[in-house]
Amino acid sequence: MKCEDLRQRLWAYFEGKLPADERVALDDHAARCPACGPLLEKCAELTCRDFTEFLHDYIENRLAPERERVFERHLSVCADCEAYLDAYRKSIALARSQRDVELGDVPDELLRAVLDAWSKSEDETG
Amino acid sequence: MGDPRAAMTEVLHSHGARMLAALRRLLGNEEEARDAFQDGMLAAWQSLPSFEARSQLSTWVHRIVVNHAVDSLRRKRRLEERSLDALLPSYTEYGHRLVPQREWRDGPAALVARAELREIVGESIRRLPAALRVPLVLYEIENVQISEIAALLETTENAVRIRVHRARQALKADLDPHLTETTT
Repeated sequence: MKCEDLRQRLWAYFEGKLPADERVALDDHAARCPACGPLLEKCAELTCRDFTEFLHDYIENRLAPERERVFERHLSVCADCEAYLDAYRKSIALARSQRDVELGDVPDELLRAVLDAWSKSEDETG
Repeated sequence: MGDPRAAMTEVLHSHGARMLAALRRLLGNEEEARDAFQDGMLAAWQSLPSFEARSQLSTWVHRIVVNHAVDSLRRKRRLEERSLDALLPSYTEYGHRLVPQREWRDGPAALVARAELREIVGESIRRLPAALRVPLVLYEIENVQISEIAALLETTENAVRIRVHRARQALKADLDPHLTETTT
């Protein structure tokens, strides 16, 4: 098995859907390969679900340093979470950009209704 | 403050559009936004004797109008969470996302500059359930502190952080189809 083969099979590996012979081949490759061995360990260290559930704490620097390093290791090997984080950050930027969206005027009848309500309130309180 | 009515009328004319826009985003509905604008402006008018000039009058009125609307939503129990499963990622038993995230190719600056996206993003925010929309709008657009939002919604700061996070996730999911296919 080559490194690329291992990466393509990671998902199935952790889902337990890999045929036994491929699973053995993957474990053998990971045991010998200096790149894939650590990759396999890092993938097992933090699931994508954990990464996603605590993403807000990660981007707002609210994680303990050792936990933050776990998140960074996960990001360095998980292209899916890297893409998710990128889209999440961009969603925040897009939400914040709504602050600058041009505003329509307040309709005249609504302005009049507010001014009338103030006058009525003034009359009532004397 | 000299003439209170003149000062409030000035705020109404110069900042009314910004306040009405905030209410449209919070309530997701034009008619409710207009009703809340009228109610909130009356509440501000009646609270005027307690204005202590520690901030600009316009900032103070804006906050009263927004708080009044959120308080009304809370009292009507419109902020209770219903099932949000369809808006949030789902996972295999091994914790992988069932649907892999496709790449958003444009950078943040390029995305923010795309005029057609502004309407799409605004509409996506309006469509969020109130339980997510209100914390998102208050935090990301109205720039209200988490602690203030928690006080306003009568919940914990952690609960507010989680709702903002869920709202960002739901917004991202809603925007995915627009941003993973074509770029400018």
